[in-house]
Amino acid sequence: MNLPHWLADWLGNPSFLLSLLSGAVGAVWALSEVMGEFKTETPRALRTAGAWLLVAVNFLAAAVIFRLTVELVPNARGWPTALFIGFAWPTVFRNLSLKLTQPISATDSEAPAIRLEQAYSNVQRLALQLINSVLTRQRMRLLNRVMQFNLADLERYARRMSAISPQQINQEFIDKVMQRPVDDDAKKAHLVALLMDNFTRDAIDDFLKENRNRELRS
Amino acid sequence: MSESPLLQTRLIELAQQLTELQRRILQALKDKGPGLLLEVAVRVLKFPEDVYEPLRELQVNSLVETQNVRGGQFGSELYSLTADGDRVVRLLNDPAFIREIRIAAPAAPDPRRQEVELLNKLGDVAKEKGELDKAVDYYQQALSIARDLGVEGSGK
Repeated sequence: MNLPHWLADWLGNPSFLLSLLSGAVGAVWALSEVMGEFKTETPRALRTAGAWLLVAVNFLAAAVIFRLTVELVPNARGWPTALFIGFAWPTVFRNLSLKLTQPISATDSEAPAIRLEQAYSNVQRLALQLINSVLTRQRMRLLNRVMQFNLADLERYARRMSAISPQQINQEFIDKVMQRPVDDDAKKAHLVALLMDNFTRDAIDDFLKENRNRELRS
Repeated sequence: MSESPLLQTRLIELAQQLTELQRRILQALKDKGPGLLLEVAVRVLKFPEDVYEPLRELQVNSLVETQNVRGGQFGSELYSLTADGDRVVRLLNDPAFIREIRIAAPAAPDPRRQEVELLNKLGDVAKEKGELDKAVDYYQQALSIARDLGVEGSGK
């Protein structure tokens, strides 16, 4: 296969490959942040634009810092530096504050500065909001689908899941939900939340598959 | 980034003032990530009306923040831990900190001991009114609970 000329040039350039290495390590940090935040929801979170925004920012930042470093210190060009910068990006560079002026008065702490930590925190917050918003909408859609099914079927399923799983749901809580003086939809919402919380959304997917033919007519 | 001593003190004070339910809510948000009102409630095996106020208090203390979403049946605000909330959870998971809190706050009085005292007082009142049968009944109830407490105490 013939690669485009520009791509062949890039791939033949060791500095470019080392930048990719540095960026890849930065991206792994971003993935670990997503995993830490979303735990069992990580696979779904990774299918959102917010997650890739975070990965891209970390990738680019680490790669750009590596490029800057090798431009300033040509002898630093090598895989150890690329790895080091990738690993050091979240712990060292991301927490930097670049003061633009140094006020004479020692009490003036509001000097203009580029606070990378603040900038990254804003990106991170935006990414989390984007991910949360998508995941929440997905859960809502799932709940709306479950609303079309019989409450008794859902209750039976929740009790069965609780009985066969080592991660048991408190049966008393299911009893309390069923005894609440609220309508069936509210009870279904509680049971769905309980199932999703204890057995992830896959449990609801299984319920929907299992009861495909028992859907209520709305 | 290092925390200022002032912030650290504020977080310690907040952590000490949290109710058991608020601690469980914070831990659930840490373990399972952000959630809508109903989801947060279910995680601590409660109902939305039980956790609404505790969550509001956590929000006022900047330990929890909300994001508006269209959540329908689940609620319209997505609750998540703030950076301070995360620090408080870490404090609450520190065995040394928990030990310190327990020493600082003496154990709540056993409600059954209070019940024994109240039954004895009711017995006294009944005796004064000349209702001896009733008084004996109150004293016997008090005695029975006191014996149970004695058995539990010696079994420890």
